[in-house]
Amino acid sequence: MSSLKGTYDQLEKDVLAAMSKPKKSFWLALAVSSLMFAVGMGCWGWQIYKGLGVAGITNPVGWGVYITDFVFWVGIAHSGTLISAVLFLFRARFRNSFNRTAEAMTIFAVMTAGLFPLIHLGRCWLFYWLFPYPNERLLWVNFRSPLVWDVFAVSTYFTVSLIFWYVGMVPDLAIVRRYSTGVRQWIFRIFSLGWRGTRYQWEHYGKLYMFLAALATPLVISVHSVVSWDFAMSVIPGWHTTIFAPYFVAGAIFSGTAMVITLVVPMRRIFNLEKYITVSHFESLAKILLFTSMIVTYSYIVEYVLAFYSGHEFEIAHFLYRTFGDYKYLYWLMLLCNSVLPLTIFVKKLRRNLAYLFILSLFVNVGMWLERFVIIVSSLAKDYDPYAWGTYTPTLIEAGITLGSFGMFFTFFLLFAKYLPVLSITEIKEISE
Amino acid sequence: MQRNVYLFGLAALIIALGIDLLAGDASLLPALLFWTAIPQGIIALAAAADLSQGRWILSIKDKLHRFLPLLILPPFAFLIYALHHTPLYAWHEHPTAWLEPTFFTIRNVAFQLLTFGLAYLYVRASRGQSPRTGVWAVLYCLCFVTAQTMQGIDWVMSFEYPWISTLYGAFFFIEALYLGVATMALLSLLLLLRHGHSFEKVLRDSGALILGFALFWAGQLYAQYLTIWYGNIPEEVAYVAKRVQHSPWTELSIFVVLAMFVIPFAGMIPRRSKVSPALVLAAVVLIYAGYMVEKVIYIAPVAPLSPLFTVLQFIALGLPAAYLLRQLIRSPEAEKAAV
Amino acid sequence: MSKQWIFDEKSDFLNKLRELVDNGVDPHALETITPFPVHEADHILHTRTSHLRFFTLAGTLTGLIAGFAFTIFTVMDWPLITGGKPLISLPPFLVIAFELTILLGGILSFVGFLALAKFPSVKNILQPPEEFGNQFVIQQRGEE
Repeated sequence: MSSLKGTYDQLEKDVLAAMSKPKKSFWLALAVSSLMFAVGMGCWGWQIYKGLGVAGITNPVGWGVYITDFVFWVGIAHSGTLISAVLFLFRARFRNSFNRTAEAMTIFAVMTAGLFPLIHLGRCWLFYWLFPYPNERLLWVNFRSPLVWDVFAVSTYFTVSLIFWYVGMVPDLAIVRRYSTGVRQWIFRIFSLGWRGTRYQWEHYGKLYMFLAALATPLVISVHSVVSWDFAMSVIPGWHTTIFAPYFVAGAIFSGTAMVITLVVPMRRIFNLEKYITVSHFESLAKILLFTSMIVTYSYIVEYVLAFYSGHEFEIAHFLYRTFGDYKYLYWLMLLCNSVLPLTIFVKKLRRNLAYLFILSLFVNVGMWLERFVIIVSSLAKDYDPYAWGTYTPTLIEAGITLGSFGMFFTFFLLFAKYLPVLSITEIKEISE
Repeated sequence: MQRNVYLFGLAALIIALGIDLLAGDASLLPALLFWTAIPQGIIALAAAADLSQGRWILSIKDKLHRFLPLLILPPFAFLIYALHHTPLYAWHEHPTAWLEPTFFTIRNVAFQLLTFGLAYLYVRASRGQSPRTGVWAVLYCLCFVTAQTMQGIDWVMSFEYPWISTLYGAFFFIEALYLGVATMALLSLLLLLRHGHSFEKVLRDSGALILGFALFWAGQLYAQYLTIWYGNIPEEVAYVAKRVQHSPWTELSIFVVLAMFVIPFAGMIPRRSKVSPALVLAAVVLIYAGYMVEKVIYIAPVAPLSPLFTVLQFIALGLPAAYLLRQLIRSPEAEKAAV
Repeated sequence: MSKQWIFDEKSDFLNKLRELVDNGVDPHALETITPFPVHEADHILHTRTSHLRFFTLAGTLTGLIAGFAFTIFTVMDWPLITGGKPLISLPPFLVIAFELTILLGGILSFVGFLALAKFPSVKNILQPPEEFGNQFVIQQRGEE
């Protein structure tokens, strides 16, 4: 029986190789994403200087691209927690190859999402008014508002995900410590907390991991439900509907899984990790993509059908507007990307083809962004009172900030890939027997 | 053994018909919903396990497949119900294109038959370990979701036409899965008591699933409640207000939340309770009771429903399931000989 | 006098562990260092289950109570009526309480972990002990 120790040593070397001197393509990617980030920050600076009027949001569409981006990024975050926490509880072994990357994706996506309520505030320096603290104005926040629920839900999600991600990394940071020297070693010594791998350390660690997974699982469902309730708690057609909570959660996992594929397909190639992240792992991800796509399609169908079933004139008018009104091209593109294209995953050859999955994931990302845009804007553009109808066109500033959010996300992700182990080394060792 | 289950099913249908003619109200419906949800949910769980290649369910999967014959009840029991009771519905006097008695009856019977057909094809493929098992599993699951959605929307929600809740149909199939998980737990604990430790792992996993589904069920119930409460639109709130603000529905609603969420959830948190047959049995019984009471709360405020006949129909339609459960628990050797 | 055994193979490690325990060595005097958790070793050495669950329970209960207490207190202190809803409206407050349950449960679990496992181990950070990599190690504390 050959020694597994050799396999483990090789695994460590392979993952750490990804953290050594990066290729030119890495620096190019980092430069591009940093530039995008800078453009976004510049646009935000301009908006702070000139006021929210530089964005296209006005009556009646008071929520536009910024809220779309917020929901989009929070959604992306959910898939990471699904892979780390939910699949852990279900003992799905395939998760071990990308749970570290997926969790990192969650952290950065939530950070990016968290910026948007601030951007949307206009007077963003007053953001602290969102938090309940005793103040001179003698008032408290309105806990009955879904916007305050958002504050709590997203903050909780960020904190718990950060703890979960960090704790999961501690044994791996100890491994990197072993291979490092100088200042780098000191940093890893501190952050690995003096980890040795004794039996009680593993015992406490294992329990903590399980409890955090058990706590993070209801978060996956609840956080995006709370975000969906930003819309469902209103009374306008297209927004006030009970199915929003599970519909948005499924959509979040859908878009998040697509983003995992978008990130991991190139990362695997760039870092030569083909041995550890196999085509079968991607096939499992593709199946999750297909499953959540079908839940989203189910929601589209039910919403549409019940609007007509109810005979409620405003509901019917709204869904006709979505299908044939001002935003019809976006709506049809959304249906193509979210409901039709993912059906191709039923074909085994396609779901085992990484190039195809990568391209499909890009379409899904676009489709899910459009879905949020269509839901938000079409309902606001045309609700009950014809006097209050109007349309919305995003401005360049909004486009620039959206671009900046992608830049921020990719910049953080690239830095993570360079400075931290992208694979969960310890967990892969555990299952390799 | 399978043939006997079908015979019990036929007997159940005849008895149910008799009771229904005596009762003259909607008492067949809650029992029908219950005894449809369980086999549909169980086969869906087996199909999901096949699709995700879950190994945890292997020791019990073939027993789950044996719930297939129970799926022959829904189309015919529904036919009995629909032939007599469509006048109870709000849309009967003013039918629309979709909500019209003949179409209503035909499409629902057809869909339940389709569900049985696809379940049969899936079970046959899975038992024979055919490479096309995945295809039939997917088709069954799609049909299961649609059938349960239609049950929710057509059979129950349309009593209150034109009131709608888009999550209603999905809530029904989530409940079917929840009942399926509870039944799987029941089966595991009975097998554990009879045949010993080899079934302990499945029991623990079933207990954990009960924990998860209890929370998930509560979350979806809350999603509907919160949306309707917050919007406070009179036409919409009336549905909920009728069912939580007047006795006896208030007390029954509280019971439903306790029985289907609070007690099973809190009970299944400790590690030891997941493998304790007594505690799991208590949770399962509560979940079953909660489901029946919940359906009564949906139907009774708008359609005549007598408690006595509801219970009688529950027992009548449950006869094939009781027989099946008894057969499944007998020793594997005897079972193999009997088949 | 303390002793140490180092193995490349998990099976050799487990065999030695069983041998030591069978020969009457007190499991409390034995320490293991492994690259990943080895549950068989825990069985042999009768490793006590972690008490972390009490921290988690304390955290979740505190969060649940604090969630309701805080929301109800603040709405009584600054009675803000919105949308015709009752002053103490439990359905929305449940969302806040739920999130705080998870938040405090998570934070207290982490704090409990640091306390129970005695992290950060300043001694080990400043003076790192011997690293064993992917080997399985048994250490026996000597009698003084």
